[in-house]
Amino acid sequence: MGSSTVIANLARNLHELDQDVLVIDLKSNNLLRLHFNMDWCNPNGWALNVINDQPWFNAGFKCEFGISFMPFGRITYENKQCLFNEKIENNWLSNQLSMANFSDKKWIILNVESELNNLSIQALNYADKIIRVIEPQATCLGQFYDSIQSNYLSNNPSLHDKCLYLINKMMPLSELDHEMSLVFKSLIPNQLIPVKIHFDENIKEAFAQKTTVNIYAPNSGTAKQFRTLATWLMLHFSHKGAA
Amino acid sequence: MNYEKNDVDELYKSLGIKDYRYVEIQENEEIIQIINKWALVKEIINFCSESQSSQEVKTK
Amino acid sequence: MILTDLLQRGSKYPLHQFVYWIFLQPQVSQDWLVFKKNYFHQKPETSGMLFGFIVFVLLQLYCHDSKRLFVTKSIQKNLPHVQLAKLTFADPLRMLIQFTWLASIQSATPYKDLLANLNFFKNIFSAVSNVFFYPLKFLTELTGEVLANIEFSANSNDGDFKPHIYLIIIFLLALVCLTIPFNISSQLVFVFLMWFVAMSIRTHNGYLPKLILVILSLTLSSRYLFWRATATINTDSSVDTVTSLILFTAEFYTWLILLLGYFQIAGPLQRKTYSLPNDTNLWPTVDIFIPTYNEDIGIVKTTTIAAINIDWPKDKIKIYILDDGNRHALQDFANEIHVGYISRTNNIHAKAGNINNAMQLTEGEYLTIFDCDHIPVRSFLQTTMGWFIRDEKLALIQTPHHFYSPDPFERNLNNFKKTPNENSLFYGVVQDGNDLWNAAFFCGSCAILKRSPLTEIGGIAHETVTEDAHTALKLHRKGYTSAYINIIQAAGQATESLSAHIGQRIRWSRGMAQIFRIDNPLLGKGLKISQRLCYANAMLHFFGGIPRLIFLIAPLAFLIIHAYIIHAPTVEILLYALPAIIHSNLANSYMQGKHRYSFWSEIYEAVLAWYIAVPTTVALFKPKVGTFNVTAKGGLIKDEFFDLTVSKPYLMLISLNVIGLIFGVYRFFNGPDDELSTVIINVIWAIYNLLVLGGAISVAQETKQLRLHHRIDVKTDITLRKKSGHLLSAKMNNFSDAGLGVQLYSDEVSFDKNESIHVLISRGDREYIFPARIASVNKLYIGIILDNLTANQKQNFIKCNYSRSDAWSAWEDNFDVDKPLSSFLDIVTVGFKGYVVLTRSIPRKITKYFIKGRTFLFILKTFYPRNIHADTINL
Repeated sequence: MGSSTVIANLARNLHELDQDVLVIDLKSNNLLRLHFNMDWCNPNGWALNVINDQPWFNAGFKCEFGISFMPFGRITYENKQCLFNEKIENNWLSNQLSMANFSDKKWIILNVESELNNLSIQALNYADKIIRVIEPQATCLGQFYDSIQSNYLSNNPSLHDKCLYLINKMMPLSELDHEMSLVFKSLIPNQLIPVKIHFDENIKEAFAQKTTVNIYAPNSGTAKQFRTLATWLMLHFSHKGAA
Repeated sequence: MNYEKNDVDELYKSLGIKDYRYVEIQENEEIIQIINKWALVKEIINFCSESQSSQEVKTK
Repeated sequence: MILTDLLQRGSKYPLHQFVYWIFLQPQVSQDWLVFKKNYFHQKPETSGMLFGFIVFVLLQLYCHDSKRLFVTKSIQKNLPHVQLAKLTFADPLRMLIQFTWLASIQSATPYKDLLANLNFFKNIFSAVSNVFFYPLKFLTELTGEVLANIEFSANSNDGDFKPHIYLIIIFLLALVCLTIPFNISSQLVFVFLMWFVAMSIRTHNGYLPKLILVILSLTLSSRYLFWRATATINTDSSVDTVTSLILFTAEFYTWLILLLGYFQIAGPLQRKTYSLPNDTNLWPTVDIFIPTYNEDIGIVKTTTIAAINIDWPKDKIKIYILDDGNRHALQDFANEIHVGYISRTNNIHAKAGNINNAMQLTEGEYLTIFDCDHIPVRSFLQTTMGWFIRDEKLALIQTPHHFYSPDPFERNLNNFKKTPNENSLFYGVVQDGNDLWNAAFFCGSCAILKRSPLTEIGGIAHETVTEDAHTALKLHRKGYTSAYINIIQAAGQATESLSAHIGQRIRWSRGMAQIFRIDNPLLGKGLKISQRLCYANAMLHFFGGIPRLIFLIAPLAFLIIHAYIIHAPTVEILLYALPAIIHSNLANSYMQGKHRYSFWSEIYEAVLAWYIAVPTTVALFKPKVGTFNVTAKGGLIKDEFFDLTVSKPYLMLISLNVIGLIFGVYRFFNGPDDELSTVIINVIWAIYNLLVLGGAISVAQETKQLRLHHRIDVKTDITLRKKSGHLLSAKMNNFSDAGLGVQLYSDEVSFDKNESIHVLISRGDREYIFPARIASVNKLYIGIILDNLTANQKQNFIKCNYSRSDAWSAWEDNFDVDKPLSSFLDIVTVGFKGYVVLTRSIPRKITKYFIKGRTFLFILKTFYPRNIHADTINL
């Protein structure tokens, strides 16, 4: 539970601020949908449609609160190989999304796999903003400077410039977490979003309840943090992003 | 008073002072302390600042 | 259904059945039942029932079906002070008054539709006021244009236009105005012209309107004084001459203070910050001194920790606790948090000696002094120190003393954060005004001194009990400059009780008188004339005790001993004195705006008058007499009590004035006819004095204090963490150094008393966490006490509240600009309250009548119409 939880909560809060939101899950773990109360046994998703040569956008769902989302779908390992190697050509994502002709006001939030592959690279290039979810820990600091993803991003100035960083799962009681987030702040003062998402039991419980925290516990600390995050994003940018 | 905004910014805004320079001395000192406290963090930061400076030399 | 119900009920009481069937149609009786249910909220009594029935009948006859329910409900809402079910004999009158009120003055209610025709009262009122205000409005616009023109030409061609010349001409004209005697009608015209100019100009902002108001006020006051000196000194008998001269002297003193005051605050400098160099290595070294003697150690600790939090390079700042009380606990604390601890074996020269002693043991280039209860914010040095870099000659920077707890006036009059406090005038206006003339004083705390000039004058001055003002005077004599920065960068606790406040003021006035005697600012070397005047005003101000007392008993001279103190016809007195008073009020109100409301000075001065009269006089003749007394702070007044010892002089003055009043009544009925107007004036004066003294009495009524740790109100979001790992966002309503008051957003999550939790508070994007314990739970409001904080956590807690640089910056935004009339009403209320307080300490036999009178007033108050707000009517 990292980026999927963040995205689901963010989408809900943007929606509550009267924004038009579309969430697309590009992660093969297919977990995002569960935050929106989709049946666990329902295998549908855009990837499954692509494999079956059906139009991918038929896989759109709308949750009971009115957010449009598109689950990845349940596919096998062979199908996944096939999907990435054959079905998805270069510029597939941008072509498909521009064909759909969404309005400029719409927030399209892509849940991108942390592993670099054909699809995630397309998503990163397509997005207007990239939000990287980091945890305030020494491991993350290491990866921040030296990992395949970080190197890929820092070698492309255009990608590097549209990166934002969000601190997630900060343990309120951990001294080290506070210190590490201070270090991150000093390293990337302009790219770090000034809202931190804490580690909160409410988040785990909300997921277990198949919903997001602002519905499960609207007055909890993290619900408020996600609200602040959504407002912050709305103030600074007013469309599309990827995480 | 909004605790989530930077207090110094708020103070100067309320006074109508625009060009000012506030040095967050204690915070900077704290960060240096933290970096020195944890071996891994210190190593990573040192490595990066070295590689950065060597890159700068190369570009020159 | 209802019909059958009725029939059943009717069967029990045949007579009822008869009434229902014969006199009322079934439909109507059903309406009556509905009406009864809506109209009466409880079981009606006969009188109420009767009245309700009349209303019902009227509604049936004159009100359309669709409106009936609406009207029924709004009757109750519009009569909040009448119980419709239990009407008393006076209620019809109350209703009449209330409806007349609603129909005429307060017509923005749902009744607007029904009673719109009665609205002509309001129209007449506005028509009358328009007749009065239109010329004024026109004049205001006109002066606005003239002022804009003058300023425009002053800005556009600075070569040709010299406003100073014009000002000198105006001044010369004013001088002529002062001396030419007028007859009554010309004085009347003159006064009204002046008044119209002042009224039309006072709504404009800027330097020029201020100057004009000041000049008008000076003209009229000087004219008054000139007239008093030349035409009104009574030499009929020796008693008359003496009393007359005494009053004239007091008036002359007031005039002098007014003059000096205008000079002092004519152009407040309002300094901002000046940036320090980029390279922190160039920043100077600073020592922070926290002198303490016997104050509560908790307060000293908070201040010290806040001092550590100040943002300044660690190797360039050193903090010292200067403990004159030699307390081991404080020494241990200093060692624990690694700050310096300096104590000495004797206490010679009190605070001055304490600081001088520490000066010899330290070597920072600058000294910052915080009284042990003035908690600095973290930006203190960075907002101030820049000026030292800019001005080599600068030896002193003073910042305001701000109090987060109510002073005795605010607490006992219950106007904390509603009316600017006594301090506000000095730190908001006077010091800024002094700064223009390079005469900002040192006020003992929240200030930075440069070491080398201070050493040059031999350290902090210790010859007098007000070491601060004297030190500044010595620095100015040596040609050094001083600065005042009106940015609140530290806050402390105000004196707790009235007696402590008076004690502090006695010390100040004695000290100022001492300086006036041994190192008179008007004499001696090194000062500019403007500095001399500013210092002179500050010191003369403390001699105001005797003149104030004279004014408080002046009307008695005529009322009791029949001395004509002002030898002139009543009309003439009014025509000279009133304009002078009104204009000085207008000018002061314009200049002091947010910092002192009109008439409040009267109460502040009346409270102190008696107590500072003697010490200043004594100090003037024998400056060496008198000892240093520390201002006690941080105490707790456990029970409400009336400070009889302190209020003895007020009681004496009150009884004198009451006797005067009795004489006045006697003279009114038995005196010669030509004295009537004089009697009336003097009686009004005595009544005014009684009001002011009543104010002093209500200050002496010490109200109970609930907490030792004063809680500071804030509104900010924080997060609570339960033991289970659940985070909950909440609102912090207040904090103190020991805990905080929190408001929850909902009751979904409950807390138990003594439950351990963690509190997350942020400052900017930094976040701090503190272990805490629930101390009290009251629905959504919970009290939290911090639990076993480590030294580091304690420091962090102060970092995110007391040390915030904007912690006090919004404080004065609460205050409106002065409204003289409403301010006068406040004074009347406060004065009246004083007498209510007094009745409590009078024997029962006499109070009986007071209580009866009060009850009568209470009953009278029930007739008073109530304002109905639109939102309370929600059908």
